[in-house]
Amino acid sequence: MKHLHIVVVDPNKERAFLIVDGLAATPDYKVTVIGETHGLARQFMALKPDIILIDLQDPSRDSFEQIIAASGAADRPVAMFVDHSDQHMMRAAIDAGVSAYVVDGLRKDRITPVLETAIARFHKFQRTQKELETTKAALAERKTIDRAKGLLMKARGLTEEDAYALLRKTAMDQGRRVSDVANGLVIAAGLLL
Amino acid sequence: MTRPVNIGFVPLTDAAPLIVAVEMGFAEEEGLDVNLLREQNWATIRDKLSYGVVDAAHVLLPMAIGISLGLAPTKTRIDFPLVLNMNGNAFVASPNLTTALLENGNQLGNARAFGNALIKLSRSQPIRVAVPFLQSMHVTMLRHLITQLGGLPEDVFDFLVSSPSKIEQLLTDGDVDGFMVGSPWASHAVENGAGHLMLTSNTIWQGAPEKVLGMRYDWLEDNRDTAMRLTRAVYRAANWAARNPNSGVVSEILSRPQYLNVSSSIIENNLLGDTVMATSGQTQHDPLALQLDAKRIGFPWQSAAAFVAAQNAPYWNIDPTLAKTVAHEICRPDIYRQALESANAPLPSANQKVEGSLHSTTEVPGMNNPILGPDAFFDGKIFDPA
Repeated sequence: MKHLHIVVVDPNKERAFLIVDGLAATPDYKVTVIGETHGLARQFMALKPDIILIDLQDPSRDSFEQIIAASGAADRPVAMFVDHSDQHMMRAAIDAGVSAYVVDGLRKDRITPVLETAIARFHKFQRTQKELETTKAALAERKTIDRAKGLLMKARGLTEEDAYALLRKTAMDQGRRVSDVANGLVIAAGLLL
Repeated sequence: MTRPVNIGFVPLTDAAPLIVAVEMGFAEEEGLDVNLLREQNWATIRDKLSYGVVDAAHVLLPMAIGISLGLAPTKTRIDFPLVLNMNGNAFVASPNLTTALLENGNQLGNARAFGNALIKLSRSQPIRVAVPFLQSMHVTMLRHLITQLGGLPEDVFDFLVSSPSKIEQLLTDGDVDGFMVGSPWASHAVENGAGHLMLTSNTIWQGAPEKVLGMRYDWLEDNRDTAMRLTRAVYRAANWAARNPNSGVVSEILSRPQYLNVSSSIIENNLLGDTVMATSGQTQHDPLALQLDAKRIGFPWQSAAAFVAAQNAPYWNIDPTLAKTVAHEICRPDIYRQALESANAPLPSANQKVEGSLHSTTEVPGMNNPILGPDAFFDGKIFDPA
């Protein structure tokens, strides 16, 4: 069977890498990544892709879609998305943020694993992004709490342990998070000093 | 009990009825908990609406017809009980194209002179024009303009699709010679000095429906009460937004980062009908350039949808009779009447009219005094649906 040529249009390097990594395990896939999208839309059909994967929100998706649709009139008829009957899979793709374009006549059993991989990788990317943001936020919070503790230790002669206990008690009494109280203290101290 | 409804929109001034329905409490009054999803591409609206990721959306009228005809990833019937606005699009030309058009007899704001200049200029090579979507009033009206003047749209235009908020960049980068786009993005480009405004879409067809409140047919039929509440909320919001004294508040709301993320003064000028034509500040006042007044323009006329369907059918390789039939089906004057009777909305007794026959404000038969604005075509064309 001939190689399945999958073109991934994605300016986001990390996500593109994740997708390629997921697809590369299958030997009969050939994967090409287009990272720089500007102005490329008009040439990329020369790559003769069988399946094109684009981020649903990508600003250049419109021009890619137009080219794909227009090429339908030529010798490589292209249909948007998979088999029209597979509503479930397409909904899953849209929810994940992937748009997929498939050359007409490509068998469903060849498309499904590619889409499944893309959907899974898009989700994984989203999770990684979220984890990264959460970790960053947690780090920032810890820094603020450390600064607030330092301020209390200096101003009231407390030990580190007592300074933290005071922050925690205040937070509980006020029904607020420790980091919020710490943040308030740091801001207030900045104003007073 | 509040009912959750997911609604998709593209950042444009004509999304105002949906945004105002949420922000000013019209949706809440109807017991709806509306979740607005902003999408930059019309293709994403099409996909999310047709696969049911959203229940309803801000939709280009030709796109609703296109999806219902199966010109989309999946064939889904998209109905609409309400038109959100009439016109609001404008053509912006690069400084070079502006000069070339003027040398070929163009006069600002004159559709006939503009169309003839385009035809003359395109004899050497087609004019590269960016549009937000191919199944759009932008494309429909530009093709109508050229066809009626004896030109061939496929020779005159080389269309390139781009999301509305990115379209200005294409002109700045020299990827296109001009673009047709909705408010506020045309004015935004002119204010930035990217190009000059050649005309507003109402100079081609005064009665052009632009965006509609689109809903999946299945969803509408399964949730008729919710659909009617939504229709009422959006109808009220549109009328509120169209009232002159409210334009300041409406433009402030729309300008927020989560909506249009653009200066409120540009939006307010467009709401008031003031269009800046050139970077020199030359302004044209025309209240018909963008109409949101649902009392006057909200009714889903089957004849207008049929005209749009018939115009597009040859380009879509669709039988015109089939296109018109589907356009009729997806207009839902029945839902409009049922939902809006209690809102004292004007209810015309007919579902169709002769398009292009009104040259001034006219009272038509029906309940609550229906009054229609002018709906003439630039060339005096009459479309009789019968």
